[in-house]
Amino acid sequence: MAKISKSADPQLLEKIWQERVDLSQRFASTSTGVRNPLHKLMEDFEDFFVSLGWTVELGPEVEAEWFNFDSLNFAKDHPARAMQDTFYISHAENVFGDQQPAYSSQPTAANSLKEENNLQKTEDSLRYSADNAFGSNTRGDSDLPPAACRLPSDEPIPNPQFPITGNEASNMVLRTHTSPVETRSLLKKGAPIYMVAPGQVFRTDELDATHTPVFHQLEGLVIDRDITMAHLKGTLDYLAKYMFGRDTKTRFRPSFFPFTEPSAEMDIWFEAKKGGAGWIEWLGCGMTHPNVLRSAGIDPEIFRGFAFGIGIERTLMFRHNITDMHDIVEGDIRFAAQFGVAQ
Amino acid sequence: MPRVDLQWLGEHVELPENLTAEELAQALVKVGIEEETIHSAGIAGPLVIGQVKQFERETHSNGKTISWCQVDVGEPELRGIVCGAPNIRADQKVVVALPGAILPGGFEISARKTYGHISDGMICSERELGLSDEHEGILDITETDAAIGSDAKAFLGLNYQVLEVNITPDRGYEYSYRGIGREYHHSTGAKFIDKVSELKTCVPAVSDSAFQVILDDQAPIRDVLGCNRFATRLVEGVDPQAPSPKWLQDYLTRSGMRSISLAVDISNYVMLDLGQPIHCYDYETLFEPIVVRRAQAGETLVTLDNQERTLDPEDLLITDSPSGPGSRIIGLAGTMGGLDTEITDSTSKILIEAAYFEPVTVARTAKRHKLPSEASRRFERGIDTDLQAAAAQLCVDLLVKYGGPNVQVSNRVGDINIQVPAAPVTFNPAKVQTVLGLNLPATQIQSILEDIGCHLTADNRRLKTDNWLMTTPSWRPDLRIDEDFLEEIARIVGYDQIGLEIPAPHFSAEAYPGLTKRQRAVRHLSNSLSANGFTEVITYPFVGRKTLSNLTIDPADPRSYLVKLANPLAGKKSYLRSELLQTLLDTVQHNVFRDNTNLRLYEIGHTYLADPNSALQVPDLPAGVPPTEAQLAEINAGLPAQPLKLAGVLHGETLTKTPISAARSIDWTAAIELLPILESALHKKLHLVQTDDSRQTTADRSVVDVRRSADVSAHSVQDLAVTNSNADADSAELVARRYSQISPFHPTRVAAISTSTKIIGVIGELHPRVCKNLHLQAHTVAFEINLSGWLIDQGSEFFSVQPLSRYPAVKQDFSFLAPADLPVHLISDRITQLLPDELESLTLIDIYQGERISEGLKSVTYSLKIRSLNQTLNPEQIEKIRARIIGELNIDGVRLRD
Repeated sequence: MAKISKSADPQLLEKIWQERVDLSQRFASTSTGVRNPLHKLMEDFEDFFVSLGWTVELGPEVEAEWFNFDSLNFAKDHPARAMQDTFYISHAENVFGDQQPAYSSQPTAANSLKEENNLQKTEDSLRYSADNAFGSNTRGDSDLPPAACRLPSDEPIPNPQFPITGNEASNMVLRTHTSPVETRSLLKKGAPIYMVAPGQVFRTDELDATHTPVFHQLEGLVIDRDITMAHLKGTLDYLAKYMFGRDTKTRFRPSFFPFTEPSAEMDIWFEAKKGGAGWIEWLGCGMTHPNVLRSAGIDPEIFRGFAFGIGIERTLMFRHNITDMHDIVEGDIRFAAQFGVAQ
Repeated sequence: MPRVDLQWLGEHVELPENLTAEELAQALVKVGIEEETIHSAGIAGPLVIGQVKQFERETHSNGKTISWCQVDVGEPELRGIVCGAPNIRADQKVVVALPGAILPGGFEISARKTYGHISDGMICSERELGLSDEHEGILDITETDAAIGSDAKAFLGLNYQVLEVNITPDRGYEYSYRGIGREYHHSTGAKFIDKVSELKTCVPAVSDSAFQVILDDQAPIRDVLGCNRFATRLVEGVDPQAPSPKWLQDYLTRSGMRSISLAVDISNYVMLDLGQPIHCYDYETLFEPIVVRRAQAGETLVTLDNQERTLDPEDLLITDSPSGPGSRIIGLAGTMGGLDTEITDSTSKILIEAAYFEPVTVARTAKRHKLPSEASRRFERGIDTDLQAAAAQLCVDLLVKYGGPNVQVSNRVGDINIQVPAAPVTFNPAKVQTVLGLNLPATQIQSILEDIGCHLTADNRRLKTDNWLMTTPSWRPDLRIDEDFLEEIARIVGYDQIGLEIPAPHFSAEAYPGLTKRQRAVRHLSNSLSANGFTEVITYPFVGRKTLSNLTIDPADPRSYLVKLANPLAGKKSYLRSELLQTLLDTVQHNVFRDNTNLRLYEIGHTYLADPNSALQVPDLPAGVPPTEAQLAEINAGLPAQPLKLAGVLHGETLTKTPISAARSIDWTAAIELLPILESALHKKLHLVQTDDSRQTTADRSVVDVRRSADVSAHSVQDLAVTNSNADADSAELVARRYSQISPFHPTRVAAISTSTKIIGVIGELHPRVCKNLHLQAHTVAFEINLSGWLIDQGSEFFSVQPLSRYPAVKQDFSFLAPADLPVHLISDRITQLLPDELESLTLIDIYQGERISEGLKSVTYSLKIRSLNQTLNPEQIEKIRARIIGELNIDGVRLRD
């Protein structure tokens, strides 16, 4: 058999010629699948940090306010705790039940309830008046005073019939960032810790071209004995080069977050920026505030560290020139398909 | 956000000549003030001074009269320009936009043909230049000394640039030109001009005849007085009609405020300039004394915006005393004044108030009454505690200067001050090295701290101690702990001076790095599904009543018991899903509506399940101390269970029409085909078990009820860092909460997905009614699997690998006749049981019902691959095996087909 050659067997040669087919035709396929680009990107981030020897930590999405805010040094009057930014959990009920009044359109009611609750506590006085969490998907409105919300001005006034009283407040929110996983992990594992916390987070932003009420974030935390701000800068500069290419330039600007001091925002130099190359804000970061460590039972005189938060949607938009958030969140398969097979 | 006019800023810091807004932005961003945008007059390109040399009036057929002008714009040749304005005359000096110019609103000027001429530019009106609304005629500047051909933008003051910036909420003092000026100084070293120190030297002594003010806060919030400083000045004889000077109007306009009247403009000017909100009262309407007090329940106030507001006992009020002290409310402290004492166009005697109101009080009042104002914005962030008298002085000075010829400053100077002097704070300079990683000499650290306004005590100036004792500036309430000062030092030295290092974690046995097995298992699952043609989606977890009723989930179903949001997005779904399919099917529908009909979608996400037997509540704990074990347990027990789940939907065609195949639509068979994919993705042997499988007791398998499967999928141990009281799948309550339904599935085309020990999910065709409700193709297949609790277990990781036989295999086909309604797995299960050693694989290759088979029966054909581990099977042994299968099958009504 092995001796067959073209010249030796004209019959076989003829047969082979007869068997010629068209391999250039393409058949439609129903079996091309693809991972969601956000999850894939999140895994890419995870892999980067795992390669540095860090761990990946997870936490619940419906979270205690204490973890989402208090443990992270958000003062009780911090506007980020206001209804305009945070989804508060009311209670549980049968969705078809008729025993419950229809009050779902009265967001201020629970707000006033929160406030009542706050009165009973002695906490830090208010010093800040803006939403200041890492990796916000919101830009430019950090100055909006709490009342300048995007709700219509004729929104109903608090309903005295609102079924929950102060004592019955759930004290739960849909987490507004994955930062509460910091506190959870520190409580569970103690220091030193090198971790990232990827996950879904929630803010009361209406879906538009640049905002979505449900988005993804990667929080990072390092707590150890000899950590300096140079470690923060080095790690994130390295990360930027991993994500956007070896030539990526970074810039750190002073900023403010309740849970870090000093705080910074990191910009990356973006060649493809609309209107010409320039710096774009990529992430928020800083040296972990001593109060955050105290809330997690870590002695800030012995340990310190840094934290950062990255918006995954934002990163995806930069990397792939996506201009409309709708394309990312709607689940149209034509969007994800582009990430399956590159041109 | 604040707007920074470059000219105005120059009053507080020495700016380089020709500084651009871009350069200013670059300097400010270094110290933490972010550029929002740059505003300008909106004029670009050539805008020059011209002179009309000659013109001809022409009346055209449309009745319009135009002028055909020859205009000198400083070029060798005159330009021909068509102009429709009636006030054109010879030798008139005008402003000309030449081709290439862009006027406000993006109006581009080009040479174009009109009324029979080529108009080579445009002669501009005030409105066209954005100067005013004047558009009756062109702007006539004949009476000025503007040079022909020179740049008109400079002449008209249209070269200005305004930088709008973002201020971080910890730095209230940057809400003023003074504060921005100081920051520019910190960034560049340019000389800061301390206007306030100068003003302070001009403030007269407080007089006994001062307007009487009583600070009477009986209910301070958190023991902090709502008002601890209240300065008043009185100015008489102000001309109510005196206009604001042009510069003041321009300053305010460029800073984003409207010019209103002299007194109001001056108070706004002082607020923007120094950061101290000012309130001006019409003195004649006031009844002494002013009392600053909290509201009583039920009190109301009509604010300047003509709204009547019901006050809260927490609101801090400015009141006066027409019928007893504090009897009339004249303003919400720091937020908004009242109508009764407002400055009017006849006010000539003005009482100026410059007070310090405490941030929490003002923030809550502004929020409560939805009254954000420029004043409240500043008070909320904490204003300078020692600025009041100086700011009032600046107000007085400006009223005197611009308030007309009869202005007189009253000697009734008031300044109630009950502030407690701030205690000195300590700073540990060693932390500059250990926290920032900056190696700075102590003298440099000291000079930075002093530059931001700190004062080291005399002893500490020698810098010998570990902790420096110092006072902080009155405008920086945010400076309290070491870290606050570290940020100051870092940003003033420059964040770019800090090096780049990558920390190396220590490894320990307990905290080994890398993904956990569970994390890897979830990745494997997701990668497997996508490799098998599934597209991963992420859906919003919000559902409403309609979501569940579309899926025919009924009110008695525990899945109807949902976690509710207190503040859902307007008009949106206000509950959290109890199953993934509830939201995944929305995305399926969305795709179908967009004509993406061949779909295999999956989602891996969380669901949210509350325990109906206890209130959805967790304790509220104090910040700054770690929770006790018990408190932590209470929090975790109080959160809803949030199991991680996998759901998938198959819709449309599983095979499309191609030259080599016919189309095939999705139906229940897809569920069977999916099983090996799920097995490989979940790394687990799985079975599909139907509810109505009455005979399954004869097989070696536990009885399962598909209802129970739904139960398990809804309630199982979550895998996150939460353990939950209602997550115990075996609790009595949960048994009582078993599903009564199997919505949204087709009742006879649904099966439980089971491992050898437990039900993990459900798969099947959707109920025809559900497909109709959602406008999906009939026979759409869906599945949902709970991943929590079982995904990683000992068994899946440390399973034993079977040794491989080196002997040849024998293939044997068997056809059985069986009752038509018999589940065929009973036969294969039995065969597998009968041949524990020799059976390598068993494949169902045919099921036949038809003319060659008696009514009520079916023929079931299996292909068996038989192989021994120790020997080549001989014909006798093979025959023995056949006989064993035939003889010991023992299933009622099943026999070998002849």
